[in-house]
Amino acid sequence: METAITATLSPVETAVETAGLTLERGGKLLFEKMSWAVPAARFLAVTGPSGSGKSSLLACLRGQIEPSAGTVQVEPGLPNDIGTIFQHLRLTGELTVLTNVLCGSLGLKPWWKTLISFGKDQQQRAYDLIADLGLSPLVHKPVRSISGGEQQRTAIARVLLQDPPVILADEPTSNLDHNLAEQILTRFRSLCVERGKTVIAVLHDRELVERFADLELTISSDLENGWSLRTIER
Amino acid sequence: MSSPNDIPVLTWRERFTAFRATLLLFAIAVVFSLPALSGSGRDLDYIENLRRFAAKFFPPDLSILPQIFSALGETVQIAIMATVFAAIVALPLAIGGSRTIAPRWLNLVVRMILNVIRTLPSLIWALLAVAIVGPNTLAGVVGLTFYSIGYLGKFFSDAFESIDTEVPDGLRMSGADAVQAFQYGLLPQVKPLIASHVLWMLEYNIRSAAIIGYVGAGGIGLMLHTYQEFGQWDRFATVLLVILVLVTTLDFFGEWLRKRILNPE
Repeated sequence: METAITATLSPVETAVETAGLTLERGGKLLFEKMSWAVPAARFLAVTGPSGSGKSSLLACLRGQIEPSAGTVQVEPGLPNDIGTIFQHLRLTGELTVLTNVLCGSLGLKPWWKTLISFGKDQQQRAYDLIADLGLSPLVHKPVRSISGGEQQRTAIARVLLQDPPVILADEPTSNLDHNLAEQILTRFRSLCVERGKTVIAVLHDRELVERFADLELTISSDLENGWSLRTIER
Repeated sequence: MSSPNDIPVLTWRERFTAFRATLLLFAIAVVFSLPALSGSGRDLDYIENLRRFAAKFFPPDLSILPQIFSALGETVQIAIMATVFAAIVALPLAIGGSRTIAPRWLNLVVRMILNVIRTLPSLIWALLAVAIVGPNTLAGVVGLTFYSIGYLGKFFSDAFESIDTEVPDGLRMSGADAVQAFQYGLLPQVKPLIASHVLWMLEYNIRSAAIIGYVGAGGIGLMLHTYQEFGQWDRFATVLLVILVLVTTLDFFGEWLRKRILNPE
């Protein structure tokens, strides 16, 4: 397997970088000495078997868990600069689809400006995203009353409204049919190409990885140090 | 001699579960409490006493219904005001008392305050309030407010601790500040529980407000006290009947409403 490290990928500015990253969870070594850098405007797919540490890596990248060794650098590094689509979505079930999507913009305003309402412009932007993802009939429905796939699209719309430079997505298409998954990943791809966003997504479907990602990071205990990185030719 | 195929036998210590220990303790407590049944020691005909006393209640004097409804209105007003004030005070207290939101030292301080408040029954709170603001409905409101803070504070704290903190944590990770994470991630989850607890407290307070009049804190209890003092048991019976109807109606309506709040779909 080809293992490519940073400098060979692209000369442009680095968006996310790990150096000597080692991660243990529950006494088990997931991977060690992980060093790579993803330049801005790239799509990195994270693959590997269940329990290999893909979600833990994402948690580590967003600063949620401390690495056992090594460092993580995300540029520019403010909390609002990383958008996350969580594996368990973390939507507020009692709130409507619209309000959940609007929550993506919470970091853009101080609390006193979102205490009563989000403002008309923001609401319109949120609704446009909701409509784009085919959720407009559900806009005022509480999230707990809609299906898993619809909830997943709501979480995606939320991160799109947040519009961060770096998007971390943990199995963003796991509840979607193939067509919808393609539609979402096409959108992520265009965010990279047209708007210079960096997307790091855990994906299981090999075909989707080959079609949409620029890089594939595989985490598996079968690999040396528990990981490998390869560039996908396009 | 046991063979490997025999069912393993538990020792008496393994069989002595917490449930069985509690049962044993309770049985001992019952034996120790038997002297409470000794009564006055005089040779009284309890059944005859009951018959004579109950006979005084009939027929209930319905002519006083207009006065009762007016006093009942006062009782409901006392309960509503006390519940509203208590909910307003209990909410920030509950945030301080919740282990998932506030630091440990604050949890301990708030929970201790709430425990102390709950130690006193509503009648004692009403007595204290009557001593401070005089024998009127305000005393009822003040007394029941304090009493309800103890309960609502605890219920709200427990509600905050029972919910999924992954949601507000997720919002924090996406740039939301603490207030925003609370408003959009935590509060919506506990709102139905809070509404349900407030409704329960209101029902409870209406019942309590009917009694605290006994110590001069206004409402229908004052009528109960007066009719008892003057031995007007037929009127006393009418007041009891009205309270019975009110409480039963509240029970049904409260349960129906709480179900719809907690399971909106």
